[in-house]
Amino acid sequence: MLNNIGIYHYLILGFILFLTGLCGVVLSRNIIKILISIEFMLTAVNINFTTFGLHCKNLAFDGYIFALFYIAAGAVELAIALYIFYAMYREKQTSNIEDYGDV
Amino acid sequence: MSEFFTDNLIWVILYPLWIFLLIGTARLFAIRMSKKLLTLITLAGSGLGIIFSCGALINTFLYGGKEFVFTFIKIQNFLLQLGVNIDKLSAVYMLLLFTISFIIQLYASSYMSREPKYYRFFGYLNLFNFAMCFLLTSPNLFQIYAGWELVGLVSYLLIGFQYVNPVKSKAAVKTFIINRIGDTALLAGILCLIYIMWTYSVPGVVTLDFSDFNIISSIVYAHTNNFTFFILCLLLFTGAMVKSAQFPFHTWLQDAMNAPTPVSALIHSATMVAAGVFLTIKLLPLFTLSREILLFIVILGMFTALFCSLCAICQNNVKSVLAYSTSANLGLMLAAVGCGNIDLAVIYLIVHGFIKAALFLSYGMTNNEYAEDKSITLPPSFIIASFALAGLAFAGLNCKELFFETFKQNTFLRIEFLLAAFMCAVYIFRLCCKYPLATGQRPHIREQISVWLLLLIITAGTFAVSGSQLGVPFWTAFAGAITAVIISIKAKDCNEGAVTKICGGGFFIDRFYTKYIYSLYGKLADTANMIDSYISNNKLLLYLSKKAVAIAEFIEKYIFEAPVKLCVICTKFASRELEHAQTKNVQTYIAYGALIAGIIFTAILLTYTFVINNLGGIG
Amino acid sequence: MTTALIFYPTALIIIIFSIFSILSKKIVYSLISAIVVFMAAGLIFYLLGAEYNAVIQLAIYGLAVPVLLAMAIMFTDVKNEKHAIVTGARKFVIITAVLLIAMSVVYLTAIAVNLTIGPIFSTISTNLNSFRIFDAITDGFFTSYIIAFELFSILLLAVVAGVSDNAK
Repeated sequence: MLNNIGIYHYLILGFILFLTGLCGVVLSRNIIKILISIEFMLTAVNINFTTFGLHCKNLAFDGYIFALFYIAAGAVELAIALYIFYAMYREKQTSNIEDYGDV
Repeated sequence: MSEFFTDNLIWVILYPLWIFLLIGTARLFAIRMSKKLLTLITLAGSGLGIIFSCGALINTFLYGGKEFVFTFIKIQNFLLQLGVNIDKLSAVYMLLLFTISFIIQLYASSYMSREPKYYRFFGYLNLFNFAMCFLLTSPNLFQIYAGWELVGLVSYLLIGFQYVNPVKSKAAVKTFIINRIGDTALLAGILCLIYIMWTYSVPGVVTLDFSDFNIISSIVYAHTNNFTFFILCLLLFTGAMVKSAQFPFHTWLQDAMNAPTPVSALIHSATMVAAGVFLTIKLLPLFTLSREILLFIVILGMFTALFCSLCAICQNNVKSVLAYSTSANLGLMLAAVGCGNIDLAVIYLIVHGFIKAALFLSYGMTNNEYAEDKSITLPPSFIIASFALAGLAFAGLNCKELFFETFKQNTFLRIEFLLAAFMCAVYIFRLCCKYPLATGQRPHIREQISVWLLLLIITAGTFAVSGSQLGVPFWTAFAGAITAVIISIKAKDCNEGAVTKICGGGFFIDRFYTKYIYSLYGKLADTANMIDSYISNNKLLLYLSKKAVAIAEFIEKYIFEAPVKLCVICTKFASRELEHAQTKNVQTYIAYGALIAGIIFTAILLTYTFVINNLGGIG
Repeated sequence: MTTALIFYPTALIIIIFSIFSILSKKIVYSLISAIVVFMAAGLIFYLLGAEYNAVIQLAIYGLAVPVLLAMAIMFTDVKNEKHAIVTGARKFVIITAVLLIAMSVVYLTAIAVNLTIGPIFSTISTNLNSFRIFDAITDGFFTSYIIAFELFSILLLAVVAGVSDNAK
């Protein structure tokens, strides 16, 4: 069981990473850290996609393609989020999420 | 491609239902739909219907019919199936239905433009299309019964469309009640059939499918005596009789004329009344086994034709005359079915449907109910169509010749038919002479287009229906027309005289119903009331019932209401606690969302494992 | 066997560094540990036979994204927080949720293992040919998912245009 790495190992790894990202999103104070946590969640989803792409025969590697789309989408999302953060930062001069409550 | 149309006809049948539901939903949420869009999607449904039923007709001629059936309810060996059964008859009927529907919807889009409940009108039209298709494509008697009721409902809704007017709403109720008689008779017949099949058929299943109706008929015939069989057939035929407005029940058609003119044309002369003929044709395997019932059908049809024509002669209201004429012509069709000439019945049904629609629509063209001007005038198209109805020209002429051919075994029938044709010409031309020709009015272009389309179809029908020679019926009708002209020149108005009063009043059948049957019901109700009051004044019973109420109250208070109260308390507590969650902070929301997702996930998992452990897996 | 040897350390690295990244008070440390996590995820992709994905992961998440984040940190002069994570009710709520989900997943896995012991933990013996996968990916991009692909390229272009226009 420990020697053979199957679908469940990858799925559980992705699951743990996703939960870590979720905790990070909820608990962090720093905006940058929240963004990093979101990227963790995206990576976890990518791992799941790729696992299913490999292990499900009838998918014909569609999971790989979706993971690639997801990476692109994540990069775009990060860029926009950072832009918004910068725009807000110019007004408030702080990176603490709790100071932005009145957006 | 080969059977594309028969395969996909079901979507076209369901399309009007979806539109109806769409309109209903839109109204429920008070979403405004533009009239143009509404008309367009409705017309698209009917247009698609024309194309598909035309294609299905060709397909059935090339490859034979088709049947899709799924089981709705199954109880032991009783099987209630729904489905779509497409054969030549239903395809022809559907072509007629969709063509007339299309033209009438086009007409109604301008006729009803001043109506505030326009959307509802079109919703009902769509529902009617669906109900009619549901009836026509039914593979067994059960679905026919369901369609029968649905059509009756739509008819009720459309007759009582302007329900603010008490006369109209009462007429709708009356129509509905008279139709109920036929429905009840039909249901009784179906139940008898089920009973006989259940008892005597070899362990098969009771489906009452039309595809094996020959076997059913022979089984039923073998296990009933002559009289019972006649009664059974009569019960089934009564359903058709009422829907087709035959003799004792023809009065509902006059009340049905309270509907807006397009509806009168669509339902009460062209398509819905034809359902009776449809059912009679479908049940013909059963009817042919009994000579008496065939004779009954022929006699009843002929009698209705004569009787209603006589009534129509003395009517002054145009729509009333047309209603009586519809009853008379349907009687002729039923007589043709009774003689075994189904082809003629179907041909005349189509021709008559188009002629009647043309008559109604051209009448409505110059006499709009929403217009200020109430004086009655008739447009030229009305006179052209009345030529066709009287059998002087176009497809009507050919059909009358065919009727004359069909009735050749029996001189008596021939004479009766000629009499009916004569009177037909008299009443229709009396109308034409009575009311002035419309001049100077310019109806809406869409109304004109639809009327001329119908006339075009009637003219084209001349070449489609074979047997065009100027025989005896033509000259009879000609004589009738001349008589009508003479009558109207001699006596402008026929409101005096005992004969005209009796004929004009429809031989007082309506009054008989209201006077005697109505009062009979009143007496019944009185008797029931008496028994009721006797029982309710009994001391012991009162005491017992009071005790029972007290016990019920106790149970309700402490057993049924307690869980509800508990729920209320729990909800209050939860809402008070959950107030803290609303902090305007997105992160907190995410946290609570995750918590809820976790709870749901766990609950699903536990349920699933419980099911697996206790029920041994699903499926 | 070699897969197991690579997988367990990588998984451990991912989990430890991701948790560290969240708990760290200094923002730069958390960024660096995030880079480690992303790189390790690339390795996981490689283990799964998705070499192309691994390369893209390394290029975008291993380089481009950290550079973006680092630029953001530098430009905005983010202060290090006194407390890395928030305190209060939210903490308990999320911990409860995570525990609940984790427990149910463990339970689910246990059921799955009990139900079908055989095929799950045996490695799938596909003879992974990189070229075959590459063919499949290109096939997917340019036949089934051509519209999505084009839409993504338009989206990227729009983001580039929008950000550079607004950054003035």
